Amino acid sequence: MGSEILVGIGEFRVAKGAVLKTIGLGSCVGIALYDPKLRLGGLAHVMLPQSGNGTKRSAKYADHAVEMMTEAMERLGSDRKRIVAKMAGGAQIFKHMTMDMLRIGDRNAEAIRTILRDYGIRIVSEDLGGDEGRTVYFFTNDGRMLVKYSRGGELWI
Amino acid sequence: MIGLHSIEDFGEMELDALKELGNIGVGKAATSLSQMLGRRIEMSVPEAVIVKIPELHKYINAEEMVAGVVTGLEDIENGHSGFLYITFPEKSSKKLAEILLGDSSDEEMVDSTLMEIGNILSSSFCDAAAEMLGIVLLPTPPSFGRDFAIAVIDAVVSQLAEKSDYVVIFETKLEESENEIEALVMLIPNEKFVSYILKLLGMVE
Repeated sequence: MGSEILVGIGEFRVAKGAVLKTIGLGSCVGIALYDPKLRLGGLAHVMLPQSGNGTKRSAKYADHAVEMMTEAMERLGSDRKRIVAKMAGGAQIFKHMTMDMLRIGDRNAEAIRTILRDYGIRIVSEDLGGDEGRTVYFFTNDGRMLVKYSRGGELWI
Repeated sequence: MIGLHSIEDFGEMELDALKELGNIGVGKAATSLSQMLGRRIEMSVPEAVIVKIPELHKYINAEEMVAGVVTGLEDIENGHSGFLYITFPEKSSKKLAEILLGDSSDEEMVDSTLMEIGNILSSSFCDAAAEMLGIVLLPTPPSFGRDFAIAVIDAVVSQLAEKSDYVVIFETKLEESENEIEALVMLIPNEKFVSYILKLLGMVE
């Protein structure tokens, strides 16, 4: 197994062989892109569904994250047609919630589906929603994603 | 007239203003908690830091399970001003319920008790801060979740991330003298509010 690389909130990393990890996803979503031929993968920890007009390019927005990650993979020789996606997160952590604007998990998930469709990237598996935080590991040597839940339990997607 | 400072440009002056406000607010909150529990509560030396959002996991103990209460702060003049985030580690949340309810077996009851404590702490915080600044500062009703410390707060951080890649955090720990209870109180103001505090404290003409 390769080394472990931590992806911070609002960041992305692309690697070949390494395990990409992002911790404590609540409403945020971890998007993984994978090129099975090159065994090259990327993981982004996105916070917001959509960039606004004229905002600086940043992986904190789902649309920018997909764009930046795809470009980075293409620079390493990947072909967009081969890239597939997996994603996890977008939970609703608050049991009791008074501020509607905090209901962002669902919006993130919806926006990402649309963006990936626009890019022609197929989602091969996903684990979205629910009410539990997640930490995800993306194994770039074979494209598997391990989701660990805050209350224990794990799932391979 | 002061320009809008962006958080990444904040210096000692901004952080000191935030510390001053935070100290007074959390001091009052500690007194309320102490009265409610009938135990002495101490406040740790507070810190005010500017954190780059991707590095938040170095600062907030990301994978620690907590009971977290989030309230929004609204001041009459500027509207939404930021957030107060209070976290109780699992052990402390149980202990608090035992002291106040006599038993911690009913999770629903424990949750509402913690929310009520969060409510009281944030109201005390707002009272003291408002009095110091001569403004009206109101907390929204609390939102509550039990999860990774970072997962509870990420919706709030996302909100702030629309404006900035940085957050400024005032943080202090409340500890009961027998070390059975602790709570972490974080004030996460938006940039407008910090500029406003500076002006009100007369630190900027």
